[in-house]
Amino acid sequence: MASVAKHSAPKRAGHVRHIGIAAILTLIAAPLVWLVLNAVYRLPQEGSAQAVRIDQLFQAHFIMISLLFAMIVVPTIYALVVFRRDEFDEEDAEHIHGNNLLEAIWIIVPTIIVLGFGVWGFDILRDITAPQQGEMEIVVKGFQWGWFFDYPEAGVTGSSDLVVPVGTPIKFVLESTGNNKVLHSFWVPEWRVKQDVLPVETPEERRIIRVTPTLLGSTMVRCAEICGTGHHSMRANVYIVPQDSFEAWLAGEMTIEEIVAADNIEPLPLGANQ
Amino acid sequence: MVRALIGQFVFMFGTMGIMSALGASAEAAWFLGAIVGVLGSLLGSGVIADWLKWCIGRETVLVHGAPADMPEWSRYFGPDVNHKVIGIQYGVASLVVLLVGGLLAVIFRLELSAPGLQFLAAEDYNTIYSAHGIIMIAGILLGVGAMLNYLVPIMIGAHDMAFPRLNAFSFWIAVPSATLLIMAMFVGQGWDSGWTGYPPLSTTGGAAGIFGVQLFLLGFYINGFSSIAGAINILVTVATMRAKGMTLWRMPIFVWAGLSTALLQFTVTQTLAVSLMMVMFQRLFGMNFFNPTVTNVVTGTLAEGVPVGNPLLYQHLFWFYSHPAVYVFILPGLGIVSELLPVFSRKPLFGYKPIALASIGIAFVGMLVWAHHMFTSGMNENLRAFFMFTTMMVAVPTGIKFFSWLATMWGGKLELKTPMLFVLGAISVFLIGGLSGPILGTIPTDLALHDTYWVVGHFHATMFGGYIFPFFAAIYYWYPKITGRMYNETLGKIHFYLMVPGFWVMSLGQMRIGLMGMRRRIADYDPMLGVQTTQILVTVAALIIGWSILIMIYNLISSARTEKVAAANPWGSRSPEWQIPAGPIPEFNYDTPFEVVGEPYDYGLPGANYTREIPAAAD
Repeated sequence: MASVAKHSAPKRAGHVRHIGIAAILTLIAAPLVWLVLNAVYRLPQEGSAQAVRIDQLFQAHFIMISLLFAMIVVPTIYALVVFRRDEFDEEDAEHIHGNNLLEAIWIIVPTIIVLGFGVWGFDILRDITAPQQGEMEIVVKGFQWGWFFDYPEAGVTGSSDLVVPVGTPIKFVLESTGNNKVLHSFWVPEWRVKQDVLPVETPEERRIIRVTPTLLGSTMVRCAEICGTGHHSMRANVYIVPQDSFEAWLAGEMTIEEIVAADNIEPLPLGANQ
Repeated sequence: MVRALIGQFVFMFGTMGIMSALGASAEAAWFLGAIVGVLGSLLGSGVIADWLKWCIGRETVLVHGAPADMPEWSRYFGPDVNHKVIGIQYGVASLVVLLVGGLLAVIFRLELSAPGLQFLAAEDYNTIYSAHGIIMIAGILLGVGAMLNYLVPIMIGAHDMAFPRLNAFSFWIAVPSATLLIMAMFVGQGWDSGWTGYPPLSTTGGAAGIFGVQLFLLGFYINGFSSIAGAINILVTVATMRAKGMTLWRMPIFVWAGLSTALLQFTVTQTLAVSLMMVMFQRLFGMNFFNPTVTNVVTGTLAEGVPVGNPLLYQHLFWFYSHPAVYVFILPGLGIVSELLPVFSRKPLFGYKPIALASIGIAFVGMLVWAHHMFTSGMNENLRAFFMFTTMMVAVPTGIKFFSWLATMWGGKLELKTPMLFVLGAISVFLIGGLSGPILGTIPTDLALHDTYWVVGHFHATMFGGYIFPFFAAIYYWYPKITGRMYNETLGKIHFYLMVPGFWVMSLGQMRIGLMGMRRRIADYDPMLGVQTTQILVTVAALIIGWSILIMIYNLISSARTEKVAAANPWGSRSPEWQIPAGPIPEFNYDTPFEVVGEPYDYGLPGANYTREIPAAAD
């Protein structure tokens, strides 16, 4: 015991110094990790009102990831560099078997943080699934292997392209159809949200997904749930067009090719953070 | 081994011949043939011989050691009751099965290195990725069996497992199971519903005449017997056969991990069996569990009088097992990390009790998060929110482990031998897996990421960090005890420095393309996505990982004959198995029993002992 008392003061100073250096390095590293993360990990364009809310959560997650990554990796690398065993050192390291305060901190703080993320996520979920004023209904029919789109309010059925007006809230009603009714999933990456398309017994059971497109342009709806041989090519063109062009298209006055030319509808470029 | 396979095939084809003669469909013939084949395999290997003899009233004795007038090595190729032999059998089988699964991955990674279909048709791609998934899982389960079987009894000072015959059965039932899973690729034109086998695609929705899925379901089902029987054995062994003085809080930390794993396997495997059986029966007997609209496959019309089913039912039943299964894979791996870190840091494990409780906590919370695989499935809205909160809570016990590992290394005297390197690799890769998880746990972000390559990157990182790297660390670490010789350190390090950076590139690349819009399970992708460069990087990384594993296998085989003889305790570990004198471990592990007199990880505390031999006189 005497030897412990003799060494404790300088040892304590050593501890503080090591922890201080590692903490400073961690604080420097975290923003750098965040920069790299944002450069490498780019979401598609933010193409809907729902995407705006979802991307806020993405950003918060990215900040959290950067911070935690730095908090674990920097001290680990520091330990690997500094706390190495000398070749002929046969003695063990210091006998530290735990610290109740530290344990309490790293149980309580993460609990609060993850619950916070949960509450926030729930709030956003409620927002992006809530019914909107002036919704337009589009029935999406997924089959092996392709898509059809019906516009029941206008009496248009069986469109193989998905044409939507920019700025209008849309309620997509999803239904699996065809000879073999299997699961599909309706997903336009620019709109972020995704919903499986189920075979149903009655129309009331059809699943719903809400999107308010905000960017003009063209993209694709892609099936995201394995649905058999042709799953990889189960795509349909999506055109997000101005309101008046959309109405002309619904009325059969303009073809989609004419609208693309007239309104200069171009494919949405990649990467929201570029 | 040979007799097991011959038995399986003879019985299988025999039954199929009879079935065909009776005019059964090809699918029914294969199905019944496969079941009888499993029985044939068990009879062929002889693992149930003792039980059959009991049935007719004959008594048998438990025979240890090689059969009379056979060499010692022959034990490893037949049913043997010693837990160490079974552990090795599991381990070798695991590596073989993982290699098969890995080879499949290499095949479709090459296909994915460019847009367009290069050399695989879409059907073949679907079969191969499906088989890759389930074969890897079978391989991992075998590896979990290897670690638990070999290490748990020896760590708690037991002479063997509680039920040695059941233990042998657990392994020998896994052999025909793995055979069936591999065979499923080649029978009935494979299958296309992935290892998850969601109906209706796996029931009525697949292409006409394809029924490889049936063998996959059956193989997966049979594997459940192995899991449940193995788990019972571990639970009873840990509960009743610990050395004198080894209270629960004085068990090596890996035993805690094993206990959590066995608890999970024992409690959730049944629901998987139920869901798989329901799909099999729907296919074979037309019982409708999962289809809301029932089409008569022959006439194409709506079938009359058949009750409607619900496809979400399957997903709930399936994930109730298959999510905890993830923890079955990683808990032993995390246990290995916690077990090895103190040895190579020369410091006590930081926070033994919280780490042990975190394992139990992960197992418990892990049973309540299954529906996070179904956030886009169309399940009930309120349930969806509940599972978001439970899922986020997993971060807490996982965080405890990370911080405790870091605190264990902090201020230690680290020595970077190959096992320690793999432990560090495991931590780094599991960190990637862990940090990419919460973003999938909050529903709004999951709606964007679900079924993309982000998920693929995430779970490969958790599987490699939580299982593969710790498994390799364990192989290198216990290699001297198992073979009596050291492995080749240089080759071990080459393996590490190829594989770990390779893996970083692979999983980080997968996440990048996922975020950009690359969907899972697609044979071909749109060049418009802009993911091609990253795809090539991922493929190259996969090849590097493959080659590095071959280096390890060469190392393991050649070092057993050529490397220097290992000392009794080359790592200076306090764990009881390293106190066994150099040379082969005795048949019953400890010639002199020991008692536990201290804490397991008191490195740096002078005079503190963990175990003490009980003098013969005291018996």
